[in-house]
Amino acid sequence: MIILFLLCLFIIFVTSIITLRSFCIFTVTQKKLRNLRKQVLIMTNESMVINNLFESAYIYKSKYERIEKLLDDIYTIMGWRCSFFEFIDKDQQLELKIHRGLSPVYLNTVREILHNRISTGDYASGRVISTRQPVIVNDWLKDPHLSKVAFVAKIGDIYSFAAFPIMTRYKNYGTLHLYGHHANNFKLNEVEFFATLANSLSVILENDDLNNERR
Amino acid sequence: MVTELLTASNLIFIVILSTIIVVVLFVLHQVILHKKIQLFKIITTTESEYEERKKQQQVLYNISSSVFILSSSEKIIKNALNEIVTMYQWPSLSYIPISTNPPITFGKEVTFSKDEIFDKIKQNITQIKTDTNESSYIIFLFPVGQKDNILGTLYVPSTTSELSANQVFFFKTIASFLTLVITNNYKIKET
Repeated sequence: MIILFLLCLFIIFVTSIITLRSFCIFTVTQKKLRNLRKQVLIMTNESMVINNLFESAYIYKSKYERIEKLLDDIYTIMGWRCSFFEFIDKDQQLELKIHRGLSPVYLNTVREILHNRISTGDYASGRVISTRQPVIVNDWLKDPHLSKVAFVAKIGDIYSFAAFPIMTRYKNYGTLHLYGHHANNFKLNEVEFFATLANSLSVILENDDLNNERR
Repeated sequence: MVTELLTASNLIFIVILSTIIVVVLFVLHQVILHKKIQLFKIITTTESEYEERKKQQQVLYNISSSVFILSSSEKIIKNALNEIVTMYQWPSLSYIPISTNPPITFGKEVTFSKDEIFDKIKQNITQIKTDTNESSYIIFLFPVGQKDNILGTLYVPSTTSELSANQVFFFKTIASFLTLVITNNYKIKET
């Protein structure tokens, strides 16, 4: 009788373990699906931003209108804080022209320290112009180029950022900046997407300039 | 004490209770298994969609970056088609310019004449069905250039009857990008 009792307990125990294991695998699989769906949603939003950019490519717009629309899309559709620094050729400097989502405290600090301007080669943004390559700072507090202004990161709640050149072979328009709330915010697919966006915008702005010249 | 508790009637009760518990756990396990199978099917579909979009993004990135390295429109177009065939693993693709230049093809040769293709485009027809001895497939056309100034077209054969919305968007983006690049290069040469 004791053996029978123990056998019943054993069977219940084994069945419980098997059911619990199935449930754990199910929960892990659900989590995997949630992550995948999140990634697909991000990519759908990215497609929407690119689609909006190209759809308006043949409609006449001023440079600032076009860039404002793009920054609006990046901020509202994708949720990224962003800004555009225009390249002032005669001074060889970048000037902050348009921004979305940045705090007034951060903007005031940038105005006080940099007077809204960055020289070619200075900080991360200036390096974008001199190297003609994107610059990704995945941890502002640890970047040696930005150690002098590390305090600005805490003021603006910006712990990572990326700057992408908007330039063609013949003209330099400026840089597109994206700002992250955490360190290591920029993964490879995000860097590639924003680089594609900056490159596409460069071609569209060049097209606008050439059309204006013709007119 | 345990042996006192384990009388025949108690034991029968324990066995019945155990059976009920095991049956309930078994049914629960089957339900979870069924839901898991459904979940796996959804994951497989979502994963393949994710992989496809990732490849498309990679292709767009490679093509947009090449614009600053490659000097001529022909090289940019060839590079774009090469990226689509290699990275996106599309089996066959061509670019057919409206000028007298020959088509640029990766994979199957173009089976229609330029006149036939651009007549279809003028009539706003962007799909041509073909039936050969080997197989039947559909050609999707994505015009490059603006309505009043067509520069060429992407010629995209597909064995499926419809491209997904995502694929249509992808090829349209490529066509828009090529339009801008070719137009810019042409205007720069003129100036």
